[in-house]
Amino acid sequence: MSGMATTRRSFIGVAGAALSAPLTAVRPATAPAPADDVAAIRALGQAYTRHVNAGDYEGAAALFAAPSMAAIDRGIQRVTSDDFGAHDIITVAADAQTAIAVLHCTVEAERAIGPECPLLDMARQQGGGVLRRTERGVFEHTCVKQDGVWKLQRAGYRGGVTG
Amino acid sequence: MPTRYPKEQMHRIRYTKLTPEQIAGKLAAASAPVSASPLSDVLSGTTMKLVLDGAPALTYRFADRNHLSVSEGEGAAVQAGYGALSLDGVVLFSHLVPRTPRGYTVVVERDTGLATVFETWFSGYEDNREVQRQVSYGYVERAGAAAPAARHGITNRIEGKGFYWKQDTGAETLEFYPTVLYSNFVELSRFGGELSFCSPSDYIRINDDKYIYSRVEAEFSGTMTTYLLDVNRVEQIGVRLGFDQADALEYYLFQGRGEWVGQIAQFEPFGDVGTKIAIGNRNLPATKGARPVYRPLKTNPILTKPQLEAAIAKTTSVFAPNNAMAGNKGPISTFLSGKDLTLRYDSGMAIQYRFDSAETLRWRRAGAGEGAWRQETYESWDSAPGVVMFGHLLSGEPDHDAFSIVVDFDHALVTCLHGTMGTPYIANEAAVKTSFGVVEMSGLTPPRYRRHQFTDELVGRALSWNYRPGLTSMHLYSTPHSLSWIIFLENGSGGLEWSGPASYVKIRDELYLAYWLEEACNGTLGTILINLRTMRNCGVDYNGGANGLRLSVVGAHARHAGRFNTLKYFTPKAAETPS
Repeated sequence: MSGMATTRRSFIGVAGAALSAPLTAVRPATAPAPADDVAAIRALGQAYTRHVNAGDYEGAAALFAAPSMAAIDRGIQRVTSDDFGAHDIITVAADAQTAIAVLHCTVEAERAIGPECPLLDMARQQGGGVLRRTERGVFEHTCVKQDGVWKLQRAGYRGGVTG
Repeated sequence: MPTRYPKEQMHRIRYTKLTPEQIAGKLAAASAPVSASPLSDVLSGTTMKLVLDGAPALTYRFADRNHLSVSEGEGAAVQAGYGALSLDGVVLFSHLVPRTPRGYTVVVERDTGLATVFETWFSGYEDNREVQRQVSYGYVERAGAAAPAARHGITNRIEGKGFYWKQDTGAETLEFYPTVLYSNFVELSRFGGELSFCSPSDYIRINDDKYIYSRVEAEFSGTMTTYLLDVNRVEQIGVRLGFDQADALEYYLFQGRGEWVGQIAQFEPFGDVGTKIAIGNRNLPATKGARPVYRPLKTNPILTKPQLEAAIAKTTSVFAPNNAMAGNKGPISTFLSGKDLTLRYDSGMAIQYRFDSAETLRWRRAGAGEGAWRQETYESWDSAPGVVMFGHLLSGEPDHDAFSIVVDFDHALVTCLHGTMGTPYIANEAAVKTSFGVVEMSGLTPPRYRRHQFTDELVGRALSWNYRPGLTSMHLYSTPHSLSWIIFLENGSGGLEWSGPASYVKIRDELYLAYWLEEACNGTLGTILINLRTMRNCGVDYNGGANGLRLSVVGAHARHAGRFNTLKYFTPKAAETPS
C-alpha cells in the first residue's frame, strides 16, 4: 500500500520483551524490509480485523502462533482502519522472524455494566447491558514468523489515541 | 354476570406439561377452528398459490367455507378443515395439517395479493404446549402477472398503541404494544382484569391502517393469539390456538371490536420504522422460529427454604455501594440523623426509632412487650421538602423482614411497605404488606383521620427510568394492581418485558410510592418513590436468592412516556343482569 511507512531497524527497546529474539543478522538500518514480509503482516492485520468485525473469535485465534493462548479483547466490536492505513507502521526485525505492526484505527467497543442484577440480566438477553463507545486507537500487533508464516503473538490495543 | 376471578392468576397456574402424544390426540379431534360469528365464504370455490420468501409455496383449493386442500411445496395435497374471516378486503384463514402438530394461519390482502403466513406447531420447545411459529411473507401467484416487489413486514409503526377489545366470544381484554418484541395483555373477563401479563409478540404492517399482531403466552399456557386489526376502525379478526388451563384445545376464529385507549412514546431515532429488530450482538439460535423470549425462571432458579436460608446465612448485603440500579441515586439524606420517633401504623404495628447517624439506626417494637433495641444499617433520601424515604432490614426476624418507608414530616404521615421473604409458592420470592400510619415525634401532632391512600392516578402511565448510562427501563403502570417493566433495545425500541403485581400510594400531588413484586421471576420486591416534579425516584430493592439476601438502593431519572386511558375498565361495576 502506498504511503505505508515501513522501517527496518534494531528494535530491542522499542518492541519490548515480547520481541527480544536474538538478532543474528543485523542489516544496515536503512535497508528496506522485504516487501513480501510487510505485505504478509499487513494481510495478517486485515484478517484479524475481519474476524473481529464478524465476531469470529475462533477465526481470529487461529491467526495466533498459539491459538489456545490468544488473548482477544471481546469488548471490541468493530475496527475500521484510519486514513486507509497511511499512518500505520510495520517494523520487521533484522532477522525477519519478528515484527511489530502499529495500526491506527477507529474502534467501536463495549464494556459490560455491572454488577449483575435482574434488570441487567434481562438487558443482556437482548444484547444490552453494556456501555458502548467509539474511539480512535492503535493496535500494536506483535508478530512472529512460524514455519515461514507470519502469526500474531499478541494483539494489543491502546484506546483513546488522538491526532 | 359477576366478574369471574380465577382461583390462581396466570403466573401461578401449574399448566400440565403435555406430551407430544397427548397433544396429537387433542389435535386429531379438531377438524377445524370454530367461530362464534358466521365464517366467510369469500374463498369458497377458489384456488390460491402462495409464493413465500424462504419457505415452500402453499397451494390451496378451497372446496367451500369449511374444507380445503393444501400442498406444501411439491408435497401431495392434504384435505383439512378451515375457517376464514374477512375484514375490509383482507382475509384471515386458519387450518391444521392433519396428523401433524402443525398448522397455518394466513392473512391475504385481496387487492395486492400480498400475504403473511404463520406456520405454527406444537412440541417444538421443551414445554410442548407452547405454540411455536415461523412467519413468512409472500404473495398470491397470479397468472400472467409479475411477482410484486412489496411485502408485508415487521414494523414499529404500531409500537406504543393500546386497545380495548371485545371478541364475539365475549372475551374482553386490554392489549398494549409497548415494545417491538413483546406485548401486554389484561384479561378483563377471563381473569378478572387484576393483572397484566406479557408475551413475545409479532407486529407486522400491512398498511398504515392494518397490522397483524400475534402473541404466544410463553411461560403460561403457551396459547397463540393472532389477529388482523384495523387501528382506525378498531376492529379485529383473528384466531386463538392452544390449550387452556384444563388442557382443552382452544382453536377458534374470532372477530371483535374495541376502543383505542391511547399511544405512548416511542424512543427510536426519527426515521427508524422498525424493519429490523436491534438485538445488539446477541445471536439468536439458528432454529426455526427463534426469537428472544424472556424466561425468567431459567435465570432465576427456584430455591427450597433450606437452600435460601443457607444462601442468606452466607451472604446478606445491605446497600452495597457498587450497584447498577443506583447510578442516578440522590445524595443520602441527613434529615433523620439524631431524631427519635415512633411510627405507629393502623395495623397495630408501632416501631420506635433512634437514628444514630445518617446510616445507622436502632429500632424496637413500641408498647407492651417492647424488645431490645436492634441496630441496622439504613439509607434515606429526601424526595421532596419534608418527605423522606428510608429502608432497612429487621435483623433477627424469621422471614428476613425489610421495611421500605416513606415519611411525610409536614403531615406526620407514614406508609410502610413491609417485605418478607417467601410466599406459599416460592421460598425465594418476596411478599409485601402496606401499612398506613402516623409519626409520633416531639413537635409533631399527627392527624387523627388523614392517611396516605392507595391511588389509581398512575394507572395507564408510562415512565422511562435511566439508572445509569447504558441501563434504562420503562415502567408501564398497566393496571391498578400490576406493573410492567420494559428493557430498551439499543436503538431505543422497547424490547423484552415482564410484569408483576403492584400497588400505588399517593403521598402528595405528583409524589407516589409504588411497589411491584417480580413473582414467578426473580422474586424481587421493588419499591420506589416517584417524584413527577423532579422526575427522579429513590427506592429500595429487596431480593433473596442463590446470592443471599440483598437490600439495595434504586435511583433513576425519569421521562414521561405517555399514558393509556384505561381507568374506566378497572372500575368495579355492578354485575350485569342476564337478559
